[in-house]
Amino acid sequence: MYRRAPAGVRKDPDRVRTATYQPEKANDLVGVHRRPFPNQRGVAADLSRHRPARSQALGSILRIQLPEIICWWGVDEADGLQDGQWNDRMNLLHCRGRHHEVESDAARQGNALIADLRFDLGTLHRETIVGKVGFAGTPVGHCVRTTGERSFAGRVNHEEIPATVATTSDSRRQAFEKEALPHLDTVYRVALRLSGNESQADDLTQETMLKAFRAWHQYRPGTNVRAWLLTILRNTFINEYRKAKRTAPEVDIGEIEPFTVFHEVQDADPEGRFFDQIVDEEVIQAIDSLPDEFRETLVLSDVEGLSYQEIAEITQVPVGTVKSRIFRARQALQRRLYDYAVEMGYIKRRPE
Amino acid sequence: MKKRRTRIDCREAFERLYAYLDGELTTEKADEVREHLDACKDCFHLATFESAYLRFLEARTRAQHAPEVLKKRILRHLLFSENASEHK
Repeated sequence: MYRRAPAGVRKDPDRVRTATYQPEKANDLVGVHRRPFPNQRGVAADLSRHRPARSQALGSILRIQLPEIICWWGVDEADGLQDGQWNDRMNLLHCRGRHHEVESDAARQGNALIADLRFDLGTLHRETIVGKVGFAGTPVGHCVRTTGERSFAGRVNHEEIPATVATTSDSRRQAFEKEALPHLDTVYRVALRLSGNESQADDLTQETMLKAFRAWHQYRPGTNVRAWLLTILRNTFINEYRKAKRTAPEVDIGEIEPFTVFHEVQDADPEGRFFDQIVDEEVIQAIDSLPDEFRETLVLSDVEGLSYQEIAEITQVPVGTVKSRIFRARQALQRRLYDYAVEMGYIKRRPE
Repeated sequence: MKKRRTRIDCREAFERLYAYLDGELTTEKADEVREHLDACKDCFHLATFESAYLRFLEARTRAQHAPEVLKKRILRHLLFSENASEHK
């Protein structure tokens, strides 16, 4: 509960919103005996002395919990408040037992994980809030800008939050973040080639990562996490997505010519320079036009650089089959790219 | 053109070529391919061509990354997926 602002201190929203962060004043914001901004009305939220607070970081997301927030407010001289009256007029608000939780995108700057936060103070106060934010007595950031009603904006440096506060209890998530998340791009690229469209690749990637996280206890540390993820991806794709079967142009494996394109270009372009003129999109499109088994194997081997053994485990076929698929897939793709290069005039077809 | 006799012929060398370039052959089999490539100019050029092709494939296909939005979405799901159990 708190007293309302005295009559006659009606807010001037525009003026309040222009209040900006003043570095030299930042320290003044701690404690109840100082006025935050001498010439500006405002409310200060002091989050600096109230423990426990905890923060969790995952990738570039920062989540912070504050069990309580204290905030106070005051008005400026223009509204008739004298310096000496500050304490008297100040309204101290406690918000006990409430869980304040914010989540924010954070950016890495060196070792620091910096997040801009916005605390929703709910019914605490409707005034613009300026202040300082801290955790367990350690200031780790401060309000950089007033943000209008009911919220408090601050900037937090995750690295400065004391270790005892930053939670380390969730070792599972940390392990997952460290081991599995770096392979997100791989999972996404393979998902993209398997499913053939971006929105399905998004869903497939997300489902794969969340499944992997749920099944993280089944992963044996030190084993091949990338292959493990791709196995989950492939199973998910086959079980849940392949129903809507892709229509890849059929290629009869037997029809693939036994001779490499090299035999046609060895006089004109023995080093295969014509490849360099083919842009990424065309290569991707050519890969997408391969039959399922070829495409899958080729993506794993040539796009992601997996070993034959890894591919065999993921696609559940013998290594010999992988070898043969890689051979044929590469030859088929090469033929397509060559035909395309001829079509585009990058290289002349050898006269028969 | 006079060719030195090697333990494997051109066809065999070609069949093993990709596995050779991928470093997937046993030492002995790789040696046989190497020996053949040293002796046979045609196959040597073919191997150079195929090797350029593989490098090209790699260079042209790894540029795609998971979109930032998707990354954020997944991170968010991961954070929240344990929320319930944490507060118990």
